[in-house]
Amino acid sequence: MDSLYEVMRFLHILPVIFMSAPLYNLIVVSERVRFGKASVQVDRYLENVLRGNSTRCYIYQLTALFTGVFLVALHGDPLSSIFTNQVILLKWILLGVIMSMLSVVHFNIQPRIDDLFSQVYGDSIPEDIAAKLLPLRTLRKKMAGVCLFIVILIVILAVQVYTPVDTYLSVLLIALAALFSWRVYKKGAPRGWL
Amino acid sequence: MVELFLESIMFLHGLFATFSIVVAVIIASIILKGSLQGNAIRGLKMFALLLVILAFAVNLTGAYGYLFYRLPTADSPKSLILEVDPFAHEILFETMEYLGLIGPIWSVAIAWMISYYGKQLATVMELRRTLLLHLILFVAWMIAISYTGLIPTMIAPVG
Repeated sequence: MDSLYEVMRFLHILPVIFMSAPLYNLIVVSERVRFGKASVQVDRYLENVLRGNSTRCYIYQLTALFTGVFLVALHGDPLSSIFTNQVILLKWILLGVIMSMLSVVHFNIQPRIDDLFSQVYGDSIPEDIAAKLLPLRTLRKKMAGVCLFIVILIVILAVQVYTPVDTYLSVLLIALAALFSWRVYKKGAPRGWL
Repeated sequence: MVELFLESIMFLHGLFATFSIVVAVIIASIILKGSLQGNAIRGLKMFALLLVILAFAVNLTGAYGYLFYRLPTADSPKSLILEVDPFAHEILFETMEYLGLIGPIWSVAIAWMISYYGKQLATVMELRRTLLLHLILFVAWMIAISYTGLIPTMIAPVG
């Protein structure tokens, strides 16, 4: 039973690590900005990478959700503790929020970006299409920044499901998570933490 | 074993409620996209059907849990909640109990609009706006109803 619990914990932590897609998406997007003017093929390649990540992210989110439920059961707690333990409940709500945000990107923003790219025939993006692309890409980038913050928030909560840490420490960690997410959103964190 | 079954049903009750919010957001995202081609309409119909299934599943699992919630014993969740915080039952739970019944009807109405108007959704802006309004209200309603169910659960859960 103990080893089953550990396996489940491993399977719970692993997809959360894989959910770092917003971090790497933001880094890739920042690198694209630094790259400057380039052939439309570069953008198409970038969009292919970003588009594929949302499907992967759905799968990792669902894996984290169901392994989390198994962890609660294997820990010997009633399943109702998902709704009565405030930390687990908050994690549940935050997962719902990022699933909804991902849905907005996957079913709304990304298809609109793809529609615009399908109208590009030459080697560079025409001015009018670039002007329409910019707000969509900016919105997607902002949502990725918020999503990264929420994922870090979930990790902060995860370490204190059964042993809550001091409130001040939690607030400090949340503030640092917000700062880091902001830094990644603005600059892509070229020096790791900074 | 009966306890585990009841626990699982109540867990599914929460899971279905959460997923119905996500599915409503997905439908709204597709509608807001603007250009609705054949694939998008097919996707809309599929997600509308899923929303109906989830809305019915929320109510069916809730109805099952309700049998145990209101047992006329001193240790039933209803009795415990009435002892600790009557507001949680008399106002919050009762609100969920009655307003919760709208969910399946509302989801069927949304699915019917999507199925009946189909391709017209791509061209008639007013239809899209009406559907979007329904979805926004549905999500807000589902969040409010979830809250009214969550507070009593935090005091004395079923299962």
